[in-house]
Amino acid sequence: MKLPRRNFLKLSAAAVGAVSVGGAVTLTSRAKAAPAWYTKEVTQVFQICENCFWRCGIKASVVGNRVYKVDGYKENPKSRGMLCPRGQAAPAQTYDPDRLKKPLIRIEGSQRGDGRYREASWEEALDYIAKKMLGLKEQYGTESIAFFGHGTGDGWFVDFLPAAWGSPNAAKPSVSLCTAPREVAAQYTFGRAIGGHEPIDWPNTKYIVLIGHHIGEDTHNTQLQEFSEARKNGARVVVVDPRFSTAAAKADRWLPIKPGTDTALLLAWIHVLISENLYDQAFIEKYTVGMDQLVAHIKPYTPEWAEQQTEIPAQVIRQVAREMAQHKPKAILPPTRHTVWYGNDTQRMRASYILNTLLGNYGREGGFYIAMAPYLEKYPTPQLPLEPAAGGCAGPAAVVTEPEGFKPRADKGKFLANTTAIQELIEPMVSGQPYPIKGLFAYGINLFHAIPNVPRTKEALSKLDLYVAIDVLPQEHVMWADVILPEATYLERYDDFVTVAHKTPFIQLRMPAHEPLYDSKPGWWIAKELGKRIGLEQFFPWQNIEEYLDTRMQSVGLDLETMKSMGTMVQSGKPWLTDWEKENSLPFNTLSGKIELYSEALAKAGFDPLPKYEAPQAVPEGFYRLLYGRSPVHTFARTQNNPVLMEMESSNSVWLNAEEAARLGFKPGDHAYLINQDGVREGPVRLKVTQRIRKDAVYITHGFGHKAKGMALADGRGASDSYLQTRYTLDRISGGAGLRNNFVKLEKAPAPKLKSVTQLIKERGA
Amino acid sequence: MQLLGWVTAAAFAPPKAALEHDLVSGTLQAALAEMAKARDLPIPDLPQTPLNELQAVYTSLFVSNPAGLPCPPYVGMALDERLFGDGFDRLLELYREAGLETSPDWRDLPDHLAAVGEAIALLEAKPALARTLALDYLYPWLKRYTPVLQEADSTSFYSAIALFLSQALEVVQSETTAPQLS
Repeated sequence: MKLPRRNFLKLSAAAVGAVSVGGAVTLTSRAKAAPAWYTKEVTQVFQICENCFWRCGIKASVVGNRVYKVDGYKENPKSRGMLCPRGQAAPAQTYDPDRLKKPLIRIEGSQRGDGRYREASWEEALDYIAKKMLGLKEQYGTESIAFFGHGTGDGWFVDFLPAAWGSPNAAKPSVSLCTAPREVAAQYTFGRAIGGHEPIDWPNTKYIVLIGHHIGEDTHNTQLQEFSEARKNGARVVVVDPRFSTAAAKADRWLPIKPGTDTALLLAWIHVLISENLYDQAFIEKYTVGMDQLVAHIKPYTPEWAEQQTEIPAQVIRQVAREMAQHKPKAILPPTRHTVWYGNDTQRMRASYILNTLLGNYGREGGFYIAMAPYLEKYPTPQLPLEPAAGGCAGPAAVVTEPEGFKPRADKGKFLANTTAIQELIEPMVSGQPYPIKGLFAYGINLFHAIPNVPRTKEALSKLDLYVAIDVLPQEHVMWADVILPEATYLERYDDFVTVAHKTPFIQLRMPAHEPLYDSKPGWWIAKELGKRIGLEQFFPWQNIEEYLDTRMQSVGLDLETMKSMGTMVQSGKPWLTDWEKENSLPFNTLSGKIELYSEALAKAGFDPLPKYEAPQAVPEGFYRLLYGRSPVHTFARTQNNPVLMEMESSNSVWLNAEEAARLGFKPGDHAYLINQDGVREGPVRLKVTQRIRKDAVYITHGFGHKAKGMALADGRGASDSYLQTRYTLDRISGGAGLRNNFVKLEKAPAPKLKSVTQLIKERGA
Repeated sequence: MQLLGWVTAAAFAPPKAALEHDLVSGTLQAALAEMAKARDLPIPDLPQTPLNELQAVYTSLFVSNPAGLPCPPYVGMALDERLFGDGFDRLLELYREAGLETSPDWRDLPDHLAAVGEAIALLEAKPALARTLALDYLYPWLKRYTPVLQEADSTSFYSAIALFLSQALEVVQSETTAPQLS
């Protein structure tokens, strides 16, 4: 009796000979301990960390199919030779036993969310998707498929593929759920992006005012290094936050502002600088327009008025404004990333930029430097039918008009900015208005932990004709998909170059440390293979990714092989206004060519040309405003299955003011359910009873509260802020979703009966 | 031992046309019968499960499951309680010394049950090494996960084979005179 061979293994020629003569292999070999990895031949490859979106340049130490260690390297302006613990822990994801391993197709007849799948080959999975896409195109048009993505590889799926396919409905959470207000405001004020690597000259600044800033809690490597340098160099720090944050703990002054009143404070500071003639007059005269309108506009916003709104004493408001002025132009209010707070956020950010401008700090040492993107040409392809519409950390896309023959993006007209808002593309999936979206690609984004109103998202998914998830882990939303495509992890793949706008613009290379494990594939390969099947082959003319990258590198006088030995290519920039003035130019791409304190463009579009204050929605009786933020250990909802990080922080906790806790009968360490204004319940979550937060708000870190049993470590730990965000307020300028208009009450809860992370790691074999 | 290896490889590889052929033709059932006879074991009666159902169950048991993967099909999980542990490294050393390497078409880890099964079969000329693979690498997995399969396998196909292989290896173990080193 003999069964046919399956051919999973092969014998080497030498071994075949050995076997054929019956040579016995000694049994001692099985008991021999494998040598330690560092005693073997270790190779190092240049990589880019993917455990947060600072994306440090790293070197991976590799033996065979295993990365044992990652480090920063000095030549990379992101890491500067240093790497945070979160980055050090990132390789654990590649070897996570819960990883997606094979393409999966949902069992015919099963419901989305049931999670019933069968393994498929890549050919079968891609053919299945292509057939569905072409059917949707025939029935509803190319625009009926939306593309969502987040991560370094998202460009293939959110920019390139939809533009080639012909769908303007491509979006990233990093825009309308994060940076949109600050970026749109920057465009209307400076005519330039802020960008993913915030262009702050930290080491030379002398006075820093942080408003709701994540620094110290988002662990953006270089930013923390430079913030530390600033403190070491004597910079004073003021933190404005309803919560005594990590940054507040390092500050000279903490201003516990009433949530939602930041614009009032900013306007009052502007008032003081102008009324006391403390602003940089020469700078204003030379580089700005609209000062006369600003002077008239700002008169009512006195510190005494602001005290009524913010609950910060007028005298303190005055004093801080004067201190800022004393240190100008080396005083700065750095914009934070996540700026979608209350729905009027673009105007708040405009107020912040106007205040910065009065301090004369734009394009000057100790203030904002002028970041430039590195020069690098695209790979030559035929003209794509559409321009990518999704934008990114550096702001909105440049799409103003759609070419003929395509419908406009499905959220057009809801807000002013020329980019998509991911949360606004859910509604057409539910209602079919203004036209139906019937297909969705989700690349690397956690739909249920990023987009507000989870019940609506689930309803939308249930109505789709095609839902494809491209991911690394079996997250809850992934297990709703019709087809699941397992992507190779960052350590196993090339991606397109990461280009960083910076004081010294630079290009970073990610190359695979080893072959993809299991039957996973890199995103570039998936996009190209799918493209071939849906008639887009002409837009993917490269033979392979090496040829693609090499061609791009040739445009800057290098080749891929040389780049492999460098990791990062640094170019020259023009960070200061003086650099531009030497060339008789200015960097401001506004209508006036100057910094626009008064925005004629906003006025023409029917919005306030100067920021006005709008009071936040009142906190309902018995509720607290739900504030949320970042953990230095985790990144969004992406890292809660990482054993190293989960051993450091396995759950979030809810911060509750100590007096409120006493009033409600809570003790430190008690557990509570959080119940929002719409009755959605999260938890149990442990209470952190503290003086470090105001009485009218509670706070949790984002990313916990997973409901994915396929992720053994992440599942069921803590509470999700996203699930509690059933409402949002649309910013009519940027498209941002203001998320801080959600409120929760607390109910006592039993402590959850969970196994320890250490035990789970042992049981699941992490 | 060779037949035990082939059965393991055939049963625990992703269920495709080859398995369907083995089932329809009765080859797999006959192989089990031969093994049972040789070891004086009852012949397991494989259920008549359609291929598409086997594929769904295989995926939920061994590949991906929203409720948590019950039986990761890697022997290292039983040896080390983790992937890529010392047992995994020892297995690779053993493969290397035996002149075995995974085929480029094999898109999974080398300590997958199906690969280990095939390795056992391929080492026909090195019975001691084949026995080592079977007893020290395959058996720990079967011992740990057969009870799980009996709970989670709605078809009983995988649990029946796993139970039979466990019983067969226990007979082998009782027959072997070599001390167990791991």
